[in-house]
Amino acid sequence: MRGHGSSTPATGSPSLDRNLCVSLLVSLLVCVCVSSVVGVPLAPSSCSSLKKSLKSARVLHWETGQLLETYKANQGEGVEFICQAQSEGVPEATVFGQDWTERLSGLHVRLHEFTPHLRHVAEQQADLQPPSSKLLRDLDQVQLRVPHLASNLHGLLQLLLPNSVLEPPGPTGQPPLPPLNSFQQKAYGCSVLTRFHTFLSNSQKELKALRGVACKRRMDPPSYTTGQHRH
Amino acid sequence: MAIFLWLLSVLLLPSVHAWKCIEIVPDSGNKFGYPVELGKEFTATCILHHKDLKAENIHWTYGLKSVRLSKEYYRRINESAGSITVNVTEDMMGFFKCVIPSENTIYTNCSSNTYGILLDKGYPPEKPTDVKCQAVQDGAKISSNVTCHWNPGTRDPIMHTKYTLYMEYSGKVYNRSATKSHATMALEIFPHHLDLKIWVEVENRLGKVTSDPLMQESENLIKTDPPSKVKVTSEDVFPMSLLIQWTESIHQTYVVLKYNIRYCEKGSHTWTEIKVPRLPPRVIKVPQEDTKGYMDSFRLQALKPYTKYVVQVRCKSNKDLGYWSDWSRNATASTPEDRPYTKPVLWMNARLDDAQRTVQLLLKKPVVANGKILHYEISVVEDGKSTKSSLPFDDKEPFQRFNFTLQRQCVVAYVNVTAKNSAGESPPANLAVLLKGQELPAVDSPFAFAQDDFLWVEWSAPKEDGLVEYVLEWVSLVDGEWNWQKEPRNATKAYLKGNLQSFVPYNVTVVPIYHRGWRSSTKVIHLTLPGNLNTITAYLKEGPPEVVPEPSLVKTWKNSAQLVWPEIPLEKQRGFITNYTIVYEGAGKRVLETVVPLDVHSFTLKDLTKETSYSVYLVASTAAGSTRSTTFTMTTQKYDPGEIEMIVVSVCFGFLFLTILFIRLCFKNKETLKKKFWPQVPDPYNSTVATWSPDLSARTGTPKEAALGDLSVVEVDVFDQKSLCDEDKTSLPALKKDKYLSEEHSSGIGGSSCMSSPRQSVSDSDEADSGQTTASTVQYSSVVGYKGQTPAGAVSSAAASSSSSSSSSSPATSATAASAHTFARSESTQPLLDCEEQQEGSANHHHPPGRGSLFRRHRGFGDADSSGGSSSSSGVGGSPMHRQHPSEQDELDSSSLEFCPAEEASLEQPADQPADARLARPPYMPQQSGYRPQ
Repeated sequence: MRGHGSSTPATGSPSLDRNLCVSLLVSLLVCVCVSSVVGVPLAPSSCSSLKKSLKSARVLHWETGQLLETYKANQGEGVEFICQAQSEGVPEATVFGQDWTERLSGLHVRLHEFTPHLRHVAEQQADLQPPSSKLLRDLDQVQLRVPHLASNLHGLLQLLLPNSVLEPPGPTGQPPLPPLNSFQQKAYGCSVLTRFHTFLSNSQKELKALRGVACKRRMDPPSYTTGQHRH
Repeated sequence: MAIFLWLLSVLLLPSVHAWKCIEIVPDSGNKFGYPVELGKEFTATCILHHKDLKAENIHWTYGLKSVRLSKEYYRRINESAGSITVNVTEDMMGFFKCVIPSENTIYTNCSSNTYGILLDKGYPPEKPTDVKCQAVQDGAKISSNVTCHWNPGTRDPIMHTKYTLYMEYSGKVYNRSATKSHATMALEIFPHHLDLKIWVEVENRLGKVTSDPLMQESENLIKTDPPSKVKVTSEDVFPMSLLIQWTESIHQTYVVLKYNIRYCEKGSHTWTEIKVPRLPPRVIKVPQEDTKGYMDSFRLQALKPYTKYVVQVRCKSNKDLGYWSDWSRNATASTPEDRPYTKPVLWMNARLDDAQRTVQLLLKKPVVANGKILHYEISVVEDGKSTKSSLPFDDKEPFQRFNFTLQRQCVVAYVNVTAKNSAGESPPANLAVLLKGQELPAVDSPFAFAQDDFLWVEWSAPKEDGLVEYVLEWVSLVDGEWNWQKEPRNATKAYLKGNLQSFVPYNVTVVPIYHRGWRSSTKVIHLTLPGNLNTITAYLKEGPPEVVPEPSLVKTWKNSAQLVWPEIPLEKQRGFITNYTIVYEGAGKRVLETVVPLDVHSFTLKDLTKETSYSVYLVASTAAGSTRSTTFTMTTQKYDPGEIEMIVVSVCFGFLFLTILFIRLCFKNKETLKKKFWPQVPDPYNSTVATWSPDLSARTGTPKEAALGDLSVVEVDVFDQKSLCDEDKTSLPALKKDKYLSEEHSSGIGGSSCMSSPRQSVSDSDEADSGQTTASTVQYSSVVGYKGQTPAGAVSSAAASSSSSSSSSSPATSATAASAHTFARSESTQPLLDCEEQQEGSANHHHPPGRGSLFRRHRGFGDADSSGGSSSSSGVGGSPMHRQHPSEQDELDSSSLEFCPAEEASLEQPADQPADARLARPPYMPQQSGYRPQ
């Protein structure tokens, strides 16, 4: 178990796809290990897992909202103008998919797409803000919180779609390349945070919509189709 | 450091290995030694690397003193190896050694004949249990530091043991080195809404063990801060309600909280706790700056109006996960005023008689006043006529007084009282004045006792209908402080709600209050009436008397002493005096005690030893103890009072008795003594010879007769035809004979002339006669006359006396007396008494001085004769008077002695005595009466 613990997931991977695959594998292994703990009953239901995912999404959404306020507060005059500027390469806030399985998987993938953008914004702000600034702390906090939501979503996927193969996210998640000027950095950061905040809001809605599925199908495993995930 | 170790190994290792002939397996290995478990068997093998060394020569020791182990544990493996198996104990300190005797290594190149190893003794780790973790709130979020505690077990591993805390979530495992029982895991961020796995691993050289993993959601670790900004608000329209508002301590995104509220009256520490349901209907949830959380509120109801409350709030996850927060800080507010819910409390002191009908009304504010009482409205109703008054409330006194006087001789009188505050008026209370003839029964057998620092009173309810309540009234007997309270009708005991003092006596009165209906002209009025009083005295706490007066000594006797002591002042009794004990101890004697009742303040100690000093003190006792007075000393007397006087008087009386007895004896034998000591010597000088003169009448009144003075004149009956000589000759023997017949004897000397008896004279004459018959003796004459006395009176008297006495003897004697001679006497005579002189005077009055005694005698006789037979009869047969006993006769004589002059005169006075003769008597009467006292 310690061996598994030593390989931290989804941090520092060169590509989003690889990270996603590794994190999924690790999550699977962790689940296997946890379930094999002697004497400890582990019977997470899809409903409770959904609730945890929803709560995690709510926490992350709350903290992102705080972060966004802090970010805007730290950008000086004309922040509204800055945030209105469009930046390319930032993941969309919408959740894609035809049915709930696609949407749930897409939600998981889209979350991972935001991860490198958030890190990039943090790196940019690290050059602009003092080390002890609240903005940097909040950025770190949001980055650290993302794996928590990812873990819960992964668990939910494992429960609802145990035989699905989660493919790593595509190149759309690739953050823009530097160098960017200061304005572009600010606009980029604001765009990332705003979209991420919106994405989390959408995620909550999607998860809430899954209540009927997850909590209803507790005793009846959901029928699902494989290979229909959009990349 | 590395260089030093290298040098050490270069210098030492060759020397060790070059000649190391002995080796122990297993070796120590490191500085800690070889790990062995205490209480378990340990086997060590000693290997000999020299052919000259033999395994049978091996012996094993341990410790600094090289304690040699018994060979029974040895085992020879082969020629060059031997082993030992021992039970590991804590006393195996120092090196555990394999030793070959030195004589066996003399001829070898072995550097040493000994090889030792260190043992690292201890126990394998115990499995930690009861792992609990907690993450407290830090700012607006939950801290990323998670602190865990566990039970490491009771057995100390002794050897070095490592504790590690593990936490796993989101596929990551975090660990942290821990102390024996707790550790704090510093995470990057608190993992909200994630499943956690937490366990503790314990490891030492004897083993490794992990606790059961703690699988729980991260919310189970959360302990938030208490709610902030708790505010309590009162609303005038809700006097029994308070609105509580607070701000959640953490945003509900992280934790959805539930709340508990507790409150109590200010000053009280008895909390009432209520659970605040999540989103109850009356909870107002107000968004407070969207990003800063929510303010919740709750309305406390059913509170007391006009009461200050303290409120606290705490919170916890509404899923009942995690820990309760601490209680918030106190928030205080008072409920608004409301009208008094209960009646004012009434009692009264009534002084009712025909002349004065004053009532003192006592008022206490309502028990549930619900505000500050402003004033009382008092209505005094007499037979339906009401008089209203207002009394301002004064909260400085425990109760207020209101005096009123009943204006008329009413049938029923009562008071109606209400109390008012700013919110309204209390229900009315009434109490009737107990008038004459309305007595209601008292409670039965009230009894007081102290318990839990309160003075309790217990009573039996009276068997009377309409009992409403009781009034308990108490008054301090020391300082007069008093108060009263009411108790409900079903109470049979209550404690006095006042600041009662210990060691102070209280008079406690229990009064039942009854309900009675009084029908007026228009309606029935329901009144409360007090019953009769029943008072007892009690102490909240008794103690031994504060002081005991020293008894004072009233008086001491030989075997007793009387003590007296004053009563102990009431304020110093400190309890009910049960008795007094007098303790006294004589010098060298045992201590004695006497118990006397409490109402006795004087006592006489008895059975004391005379002339002994006693130490005495007084002990006064209560139920709580005793106190003694100071000691004083008294000494009993040697004699009782009057004892000495009694002895002296007794001695004096004895002496007096003896003296009297002696004198009596002397008197009794005076003749003997007289003859013995003073023999009689005749006095020739005073001797005379009787004159026998026939012409006595001729010489009557002659100077010679006067000159005789002391000589008596013997009556001579001049009418007798015989001569005196002849009569004398014949009468002498008769006289003589008569003398011997007469047994009476009277004192011839000093005797009263009234009592002078002829017989005495005869007796004397007998002596004279005896003298006459003896030539050598002087003849004596009888004394029949006195100094200054005329013979006639004397003779008359003598003759009367003689006639009455001697006539009864015999006629001869009478004749002899009639022919008595005149004798002269030589003895000295006494002076004449006045009364005799009186008699003499009286006699002279009856018989004129010019007449001689013979005539008087004759006349007397003539009188006798004139009385005819009466005289003779008296002379012969005698009248009853003459037949009296001699003693009676003496009495008569005595009586005649006392009143002799007049009586004799009256007796001898004839009834037909002429009036002129009787009239001639008075000139002497004053004189007679004047002498009577004699």
